[in-house]
Amino acid sequence: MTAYIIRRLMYLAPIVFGVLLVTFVLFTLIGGDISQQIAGKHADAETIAEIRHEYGFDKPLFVGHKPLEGDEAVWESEKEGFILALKNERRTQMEEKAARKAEKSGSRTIEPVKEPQIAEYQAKKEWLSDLFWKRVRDKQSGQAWEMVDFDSQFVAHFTKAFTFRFGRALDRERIGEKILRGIGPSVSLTIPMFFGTLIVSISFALVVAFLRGTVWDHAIVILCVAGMSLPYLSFIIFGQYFFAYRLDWFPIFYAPDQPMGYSVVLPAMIGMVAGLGSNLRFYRTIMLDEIRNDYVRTAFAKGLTARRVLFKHVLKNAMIPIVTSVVLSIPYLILGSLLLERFFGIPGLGYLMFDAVSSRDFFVLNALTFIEALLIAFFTLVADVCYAWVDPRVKFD
Amino acid sequence: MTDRTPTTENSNEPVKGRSLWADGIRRLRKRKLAMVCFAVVMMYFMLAGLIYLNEVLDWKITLFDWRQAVGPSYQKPWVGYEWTPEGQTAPQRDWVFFGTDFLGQSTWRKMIYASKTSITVALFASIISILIGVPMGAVAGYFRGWVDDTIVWLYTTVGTIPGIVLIMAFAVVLRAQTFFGAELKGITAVYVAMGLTSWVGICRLIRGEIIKRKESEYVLAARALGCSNRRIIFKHLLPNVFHVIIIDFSLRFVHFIHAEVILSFLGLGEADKPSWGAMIDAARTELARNVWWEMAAATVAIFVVSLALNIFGDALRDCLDPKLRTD
Repeated sequence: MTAYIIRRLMYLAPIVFGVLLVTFVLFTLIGGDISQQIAGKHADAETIAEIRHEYGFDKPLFVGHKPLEGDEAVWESEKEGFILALKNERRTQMEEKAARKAEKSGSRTIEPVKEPQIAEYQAKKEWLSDLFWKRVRDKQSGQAWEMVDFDSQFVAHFTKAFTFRFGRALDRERIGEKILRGIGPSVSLTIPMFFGTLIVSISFALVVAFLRGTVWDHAIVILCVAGMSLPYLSFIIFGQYFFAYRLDWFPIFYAPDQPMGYSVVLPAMIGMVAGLGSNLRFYRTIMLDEIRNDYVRTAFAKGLTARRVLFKHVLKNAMIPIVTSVVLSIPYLILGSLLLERFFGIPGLGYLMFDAVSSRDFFVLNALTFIEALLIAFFTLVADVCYAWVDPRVKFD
Repeated sequence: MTDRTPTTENSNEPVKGRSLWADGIRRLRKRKLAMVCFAVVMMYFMLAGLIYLNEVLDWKITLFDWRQAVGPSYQKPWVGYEWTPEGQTAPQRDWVFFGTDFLGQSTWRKMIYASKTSITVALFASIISILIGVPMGAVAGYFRGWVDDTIVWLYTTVGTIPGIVLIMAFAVVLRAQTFFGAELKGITAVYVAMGLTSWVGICRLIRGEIIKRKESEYVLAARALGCSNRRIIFKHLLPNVFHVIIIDFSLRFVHFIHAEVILSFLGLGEADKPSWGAMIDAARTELARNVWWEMAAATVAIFVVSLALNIFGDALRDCLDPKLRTD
C-alpha cells in the first residue's frame, strides 16, 4: 500500500511538469509579450521597457543570459569581427571553388570572386542565437547578453509555480492574495450546492432504481435528459430574474455588508436544480449496476424488506463509486462556479477567472490554471488511493 | 414475418450474416423516438447548410436576413403593430412571429441564423478533436511501450486541466493570433480551442478499445498475412471501433453547443453575428422590461437540439454497443 502511494506520488511529477509545459506554451510562447497592452496605447518606450523588465518579458525564452559588460561597443565590435571572419571564410571557400573549376576546365586564369554577401546567413545565425548562441542580442533594446545562468522565462515560469509566488496581476495586486481571498466565497457557494445536489440525487436515485422499468422511472429519466439539455445560462438568468427581481425573495447581487449565507442561497439553489439532471442520471446508473448483483437477489430471497435492502446493502456498496466521485469533485468545489459567481457578483475564484479572461490577464489565468491542475491531479491520486483502500480486489500495479 | 435463421448444416447457400452496422441500424429503426430525434438534428444541420449556401450563392432568402429591421424596438410576439420603416413616410401594418430585439431585428430570424454558428462550431470542434484523438489513441493502444507512455502522459496532462478553463485559456490566447498567415478570429478561435482541448476523452476510449482488440483473431490473421502495422490499425482495427467514435461524437456534440453558448456569453465567440449565447446574455437587461422572447427563443433552440442529440446519442449507444447499455 505504501509503495503504491509512493509510486502514485512519483507519477505526479511528470504530470505537473506537463501542465507547466502547456501553460508555458500557451501563455508565454503563443500569448507572447503583452507589455504594450499593459502600458496602454500612448506609452513611451521607457515605460514599456520598465514593464517588460518587471514582468520578465526582457528575459530570453529558454537559456538565461547576462548583460555583456561594455554592452553596445563590445557587441558591435564582436559582431563586426564575427561578420568579417564569416566573410573571410566564405571568400576562401569561393576562391577554392573557382580554382577547382579553373583546373577542371583547363584554363589558366582564375576568375576573381565577388564580395561574399552574408546578410541572410548572418540573419539566420542571429535568429538561431536567440535560443542557443553564446551571445544574444535582444531585439528591442539592443542590449548584448552573455550566457551565464538559467535566468530565463522558462525557468522563471517553473520557479514561480513551485514557490507559489505568482507576482502581481495587471491591477498591481498580488495574485496569491487574490486567490486566497477568493477561496472563501467560492467554497461557501459550492459546498452547500454540491452536498444539496448529492443528497437529493442519491435519494432520488435509490427510489428510481427501486421503481425501474415503471412509468415513473421512464418519466424521471426523460426529465433528467430534458434538464441536461437546458442551457446553464438560462437557468441562471431566469432564476435570478424570477426569484430575486420579480418575487424579491433573495438579493439580486452580493452585498459585502451582508452575511455570505444570505446572498449565496439563490445561486446555490439554481446550481442545484441545474445540476440535478445529470447527477440523478449518473447515480441511477450506479444504483442499477449494484441492484443487478447477486447479493441483492440473495437479500431479497431471504425475505428482507425493500427498504432494508436498498439502504443497508445497496447503498453501502454503491458508496465506493459515490465517494470516488465526491473526492474527484473537491477541486471543482474550491474553484467555484464561473457563471454563478459572475451573475451574482460573488467575489470568488470563478469571478477572478472571469475578470482575468475579460481583461486578458495572462498572469492570473496562468496561476489559476496551474493551481487547479495541481488540485485535480492530487485529488485524482487521493481518489485512487481511497478506491484501492476500500476495495480489496484492486491490485497495486 | 420471421427472420429465417441462417444454418450452416445441409445448406449449399452461402450464409449471409448481418454486420454490426446493419444490426445496429435495424435496432435503431425500431425506436421511433430516436428516429424523430435524428430527423430534428438533421433539420438543424440542413438549416445551417442552407444558410451557408444562401451566403455563398447570394440567394437573398428573407428568412435568413437577420440584419433587416422588421419593426420597432422590443415588439411583442404574435401582435400586429403599426410602424414606419426607415426611409418610408407612410406607416404600415405588420406583425412579427417571435418579437423583435432592441434594434428591431426579428428574434425568429436571429435564432435561425444562430444555428449556423452553433452547428459550425460544434462540427469543426468535433472533427478536430476526432482527428487528434483517434489516431493518437489507436497508435498508443497498438504499439504500447514508450509511445503509449508518452501519449498517456500527454492526455493525462491535458485532462488534468479543467475543460472549460482550458478552452477559455486557449480561446483568449488564440484570438487575434496569426498562424501560417491566417488570423484566428471570431468562431474560428472558439472551435480550434475546443478541438485542441477536448480530444482527451475519445483518445482514452479508442486506446482502451484497441488494447482490448489487438490480440483478437482477425488482427493475428492480418499479421500472419504480412499486413503492415499501419494497415492493421487503419484498415482492420479502426473500422471495428468506429461505432465508439460515432457514439462519442453524437454525445460530445451537445457539450460543444453548450460550451459555445458560454463562450459567446463571455465575449469570446462571434462578435457581430447572432449567436444563442449572445441572445441569452441580452436577456439579462431585457427581462426587467418584460422582454422574455429573445431568451425564450434561444433557450428553446438549444433545448430542442440538445434533447434530440441526447436521446439519439443514447439510443445509438444502446443499439450499436449493447454491452455499454445502461438500463
